[in-house]
Amino acid sequence: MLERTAPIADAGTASDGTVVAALAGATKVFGGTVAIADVSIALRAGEVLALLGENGAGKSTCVKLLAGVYRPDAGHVLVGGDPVSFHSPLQAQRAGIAVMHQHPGLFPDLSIGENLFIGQTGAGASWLIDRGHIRTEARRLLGLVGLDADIDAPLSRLRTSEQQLVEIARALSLDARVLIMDEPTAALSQREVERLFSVVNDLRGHGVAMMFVGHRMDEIYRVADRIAVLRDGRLVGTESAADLSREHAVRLMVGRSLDGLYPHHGTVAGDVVLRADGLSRAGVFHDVSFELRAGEILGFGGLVGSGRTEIARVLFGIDQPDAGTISLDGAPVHLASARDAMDRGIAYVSEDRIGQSLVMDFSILTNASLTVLDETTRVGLVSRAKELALATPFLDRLRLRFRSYDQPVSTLSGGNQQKVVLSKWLATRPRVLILDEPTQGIDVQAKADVHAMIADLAAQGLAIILISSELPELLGMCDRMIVLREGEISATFERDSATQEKVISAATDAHKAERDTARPYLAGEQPSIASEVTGPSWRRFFARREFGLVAAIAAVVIPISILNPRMLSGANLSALAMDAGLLMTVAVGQMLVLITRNIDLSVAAVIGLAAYGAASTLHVHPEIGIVGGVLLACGIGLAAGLVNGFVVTWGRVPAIVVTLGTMTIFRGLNSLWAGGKQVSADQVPQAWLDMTSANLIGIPAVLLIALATLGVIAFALRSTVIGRELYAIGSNPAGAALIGIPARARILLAFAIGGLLAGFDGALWASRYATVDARVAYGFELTVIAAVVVGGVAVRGGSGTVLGVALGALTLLVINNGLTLVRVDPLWLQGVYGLVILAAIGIDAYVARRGAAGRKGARA
Amino acid sequence: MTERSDPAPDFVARFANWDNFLAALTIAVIAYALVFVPNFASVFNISQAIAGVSERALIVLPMVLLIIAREIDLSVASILALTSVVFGLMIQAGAPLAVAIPLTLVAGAACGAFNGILVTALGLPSLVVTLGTMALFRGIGYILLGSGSVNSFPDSFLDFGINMVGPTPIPWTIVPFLVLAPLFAIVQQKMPLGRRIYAIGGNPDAARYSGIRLARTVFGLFVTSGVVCAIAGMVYAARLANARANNALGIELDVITIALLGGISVFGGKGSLTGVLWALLLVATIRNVLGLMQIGGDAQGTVIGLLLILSLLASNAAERLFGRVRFRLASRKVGE
Amino acid sequence: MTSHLLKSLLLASSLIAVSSLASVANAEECATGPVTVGFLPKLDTDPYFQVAQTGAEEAAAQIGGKAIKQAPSQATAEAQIEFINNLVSQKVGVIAISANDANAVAPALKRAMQQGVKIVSYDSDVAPAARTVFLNQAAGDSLAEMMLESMGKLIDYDGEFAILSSTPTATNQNAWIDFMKAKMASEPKYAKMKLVQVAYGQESEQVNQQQALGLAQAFPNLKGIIIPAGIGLPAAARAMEQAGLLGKIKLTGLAPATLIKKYIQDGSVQDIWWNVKDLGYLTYYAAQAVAECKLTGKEGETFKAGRLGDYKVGKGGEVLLGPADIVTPANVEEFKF
Repeated sequence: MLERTAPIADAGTASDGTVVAALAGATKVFGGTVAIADVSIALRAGEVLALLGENGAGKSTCVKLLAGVYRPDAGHVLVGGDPVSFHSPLQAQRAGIAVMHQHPGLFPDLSIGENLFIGQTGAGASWLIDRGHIRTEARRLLGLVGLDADIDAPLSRLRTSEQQLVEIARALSLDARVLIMDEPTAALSQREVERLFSVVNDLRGHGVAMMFVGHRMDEIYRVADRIAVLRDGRLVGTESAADLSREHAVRLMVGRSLDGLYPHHGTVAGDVVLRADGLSRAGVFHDVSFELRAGEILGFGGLVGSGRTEIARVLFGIDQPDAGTISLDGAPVHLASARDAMDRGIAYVSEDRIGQSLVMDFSILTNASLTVLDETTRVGLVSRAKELALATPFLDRLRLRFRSYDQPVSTLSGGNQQKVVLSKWLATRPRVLILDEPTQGIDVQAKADVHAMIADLAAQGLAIILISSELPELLGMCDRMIVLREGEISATFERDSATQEKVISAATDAHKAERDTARPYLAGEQPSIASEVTGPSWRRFFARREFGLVAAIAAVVIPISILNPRMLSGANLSALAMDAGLLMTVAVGQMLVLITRNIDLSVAAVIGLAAYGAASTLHVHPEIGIVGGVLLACGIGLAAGLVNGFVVTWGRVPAIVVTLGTMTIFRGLNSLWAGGKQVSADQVPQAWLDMTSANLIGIPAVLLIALATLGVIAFALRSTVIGRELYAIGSNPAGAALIGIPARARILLAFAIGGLLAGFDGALWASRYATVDARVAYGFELTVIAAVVVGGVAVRGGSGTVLGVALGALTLLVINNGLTLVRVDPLWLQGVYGLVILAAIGIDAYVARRGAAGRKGARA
Repeated sequence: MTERSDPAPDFVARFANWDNFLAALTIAVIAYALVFVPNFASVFNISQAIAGVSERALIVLPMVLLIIAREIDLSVASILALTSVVFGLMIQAGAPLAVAIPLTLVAGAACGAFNGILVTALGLPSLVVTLGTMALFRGIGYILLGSGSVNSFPDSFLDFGINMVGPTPIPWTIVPFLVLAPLFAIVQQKMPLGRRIYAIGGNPDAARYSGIRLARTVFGLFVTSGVVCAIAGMVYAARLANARANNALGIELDVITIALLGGISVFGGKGSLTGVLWALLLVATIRNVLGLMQIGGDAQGTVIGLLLILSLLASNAAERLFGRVRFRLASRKVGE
Repeated sequence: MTSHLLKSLLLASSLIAVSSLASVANAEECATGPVTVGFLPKLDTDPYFQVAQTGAEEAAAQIGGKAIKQAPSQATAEAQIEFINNLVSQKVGVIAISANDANAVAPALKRAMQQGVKIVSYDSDVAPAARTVFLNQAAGDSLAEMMLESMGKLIDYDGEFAILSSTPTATNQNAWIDFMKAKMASEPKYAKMKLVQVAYGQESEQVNQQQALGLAQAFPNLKGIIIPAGIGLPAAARAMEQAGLLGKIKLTGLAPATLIKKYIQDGSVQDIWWNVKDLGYLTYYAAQAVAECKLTGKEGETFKAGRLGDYKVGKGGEVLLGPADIVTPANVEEFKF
């Protein structure tokens, strides 16, 4: 077992060469597709093993087997020579295996520091969060990877490349014996990659066994000691890097040689089709001007984050420039949307294939025709024949490998998916084609097909912009090249005058001095970004939500108290306090559920069931006393919460559906139990009724109980590991699963506590309102959700505070009370409630937009 | 040349189809009712049962499209109430039907547009927006009409609400649904707009980058929802000869339940109208049968709620089961 | 997809065709013996109707036939319509309805009548064209006057008072409120009393308590509240008691005597009530008489209602159970509900 404080030198029995972890004859099948078959890989201490292979070759599966995400269907995972069976990533972690995932499974709503340590519960780790320890460790780790940021800032404020650095730091924090890096450099700038490699070297010296999965040959040959090649799920060769030439490696991967990768095409540059003059977008790029001719391929080179994709988005109408003009065929145009740009013959192939180019559930044909739907119709209805006519030519030309046109595109390999994307865009018959990393993450064969197509298109007269981070690709394909650095054009090259060195030098800083802080600065808004990330201004922003609610409450209370002083009378405040106690208790339970990205519509029905249950049982068996009654109500609530929780977690039914169903089920049970009868005030012990009318120092007991409950939950959410894990689950469910947070158990817990609180609330309700029947709290769930929403809890999960919920509940009640006191027709109150909810979320959105605008410059 | 391998017959997928499952269940329930439940198989009972779902059937049509597009509209019942109030007030003020009906549709469209603007232009989540407008619209209804009601309507209007079509047991009130349902089905399955909606629900970013105008489409969906709710509001007023602000309390959850039961995924991008129509028929039949067995409103809800949850649990379990079957078939291939 | 749609349409139409072939239920014009009477109260959780039902069952035991009860879970017209249709399908002879909304249920009742089912209403009337007779617990204006008189005595005929009703659509409550307003306008002795607001308790304990308290807070000079709703009066009394206002704000209205006994006995609340069970008993007898065409709702007709004696139909087909009583500490024990 590992302790975080032990230095790395103690890790493992490290002498070089010992096999620390391995896959032995591992096979994994997914629903009929064989991912890997009989693969054996050994990771040795002090050595980096690179895993090569086309997409779909099985690299990702190997990573996930070692990481404990999957279990092999045949063969074993070995740690220290012994077969192990990981049932969760957490177990793999505890066995000493750390993984840097390709798509960072981090949590935007948690702070950077918390992101580093969330999910790490080893033996001896307490259930409380040790903030001091986190601080020191976090600072050390961030220094290691060269990231300068405020540890308490929420992760969402960082750029993609910075978030990748946090992911790396996170893996390093585990002090593992085995480190697996899955495409860690994809989003990093050159300087950050260097940093990573120096860390790798360091770890090598300490005897850590490492595996590196990547696509960039340069990087692989720099960092690897041995190289293993996968092809079609099988291991075709393992050699030391020194003994394996690149040619040979590629041949192993595809079964053919590297030649002919970059087709040549005659440079027949025609007229200027597209022209950009002085394009600028604040904080992103500045004064970009270039010309694009028909039949030429213009390359955009530069580091990740230099602004190339942003320029492309402006050219495609998705974003708007702050200054400068775009001209097509000599006439200036204004591109207000993607549709606009497409209508003028511009097409954009995004770098984010899965996120921005394809709808995974759609078939190949449906994806391929998505851009030209209007052309597929006959008499207004989509005609399959026309669809095929539009898609088939390009799919054929690109040599797509598929079973049928109706096959879901998710079943294709990366390369074939990209071919569908290209086909989709070529079907629009564009004049300008912007390709953003068109061959990223696809296998060599597909790459060749794509390059051939690009050359073909240029020969036919298309004007092409090629954005790429692979220098050989840029140099091999482009007629001319523009290199961007930090949003400005730093160099232009004609084809023959460009070399790798010149391009790199133009792309990076003129002074190559190494700096500890690897965060690239952007022209423009730098100072304000830094100040927003750190210190008091951030806290001010955070506090604004609660402050706003207090202001809203004051805005209602003050004028109304002047109009009707009874608002502040003892009787009124007492009644208000009791209502507040009832609402807050159940609202905080709802908050727990919402944080995990679920919802519970059945709370009101649970309150009713618990209230009736307790009251009717007390009526029949008064000997159980108040305590018995309360416990019974809590028990009913807990049972209900568990039912909800189980169906959501183990049944995997979405929460909104489950609780919609249980809402009616519980209400129905309540009806059946009550059988149309009531339990009236004189049928229950007086002590039961007095429970809620008790006063402590003048404040109703109900409110005090509620406040105590809120306090406990606030503490738990802020300072216990489980509490932070709840936020993590809502912030990034997939990420939470990947790092081994037992999401199902936590969500079950949230529902259970929510149910328990609703049950408890039922007891209080029955005591306060004395007469209970099957209609108790009917429709109350919407009030609860409104209170939580007004209190600032995001419906999408991951954020929210107990204080906010308390204030939200109070705001709603105060408004209700205030309007009643100024004699507004009670029937009108509904409309006012609606306005309040809309106002609350409107303000939320406004504030969030202001925050995002300030962060715009920080986005990659 | 494109390479194509033989299409593997995925009979498993075809068999475990949600629509077929629902159809089978519905037919089973109806058959049971026809044989075992006395009084079920009468013209009166069936026609009244159909009339009773007239509004829900209408509202479920745009709701399905909204859920597919990853949105939701909780304010449908309130729009129904508000537009029925508006309609009633116009009739009360002496406006002829030919004027009142179009203006009511406009009122519905305005409500939908309000929802639409908040969701598209301000980017607010539709769950919360429509939670707010659910209260707001009904509140406006109360402001306009207070606790009163409008009851005197032109005879032709009331006849529409009561009569059957000719000698058939089909009530006139279901006719708007019968007219609109095929239209919605065609749009959803056969027209570019339908594809665009599925794309928006399946992957909003990809939809935007493919040139689909998200804001315009979603806005249009909300306006459509508002208009259809206005139609439902008038149908309701005709059927009950009554326009008041507390009409149709709570049917939004009913409608959403039917949509979800019908196989529309809450995550968006999946599901079709066929399943929903079966679900509508199923829910109407079950409620009717339970009522005939003297089981009351809340208890009926229990059955529907159980049906919803159990059906989804069953479908999840079936997926996992069939997945294992496929795996066993496939693993034989691996051994070769 | 098209084939699916076609299949569904074919199936649906065949189902409808099958059902059309089923025999049409044609109830006889006049029953020759006791029939099943379907009671349809406003709400299933209101104990008032359950007590009334015991009276109906007593009557059923005496003269035969059956009394069944189906009640909606929501106090709305739409919910009641479903049950009207259910009862018709179950081929009851008479439906006895206490309506949530006088006009909204009328079309459904008329349809029921077309199917040969007779309609009577009790407690809360429907549109007169949709029923044969209306069994009222007491004359509406008499109840209204008694409540008004009761309030007047409590506050010395001077000052502000409010009304806390049940739902905004309830026929009976609205009728009483209208009577009260008319009486106040026409009789000089109520001239110094002012009605400041009508609030609605929605038949819910919680809402009633909140509304009562709200009225007390909104109108600092409020001297009394009239609560013509069974669940409302005890709820308001509890709320006032909790707020320490019992006695300062006078309460009166209509409520089950047993639920309000405590407050009657200490004199802080007044109540006007009647024998609820008898209302159910009477309704059953009337329903059977209507089913056998012995009662058609014409003014002046008489019929016999078991142990309650003879009853005469008044104006508009209304039959009155009898005068209501003021519940005092002296007679409160006599009320079984």
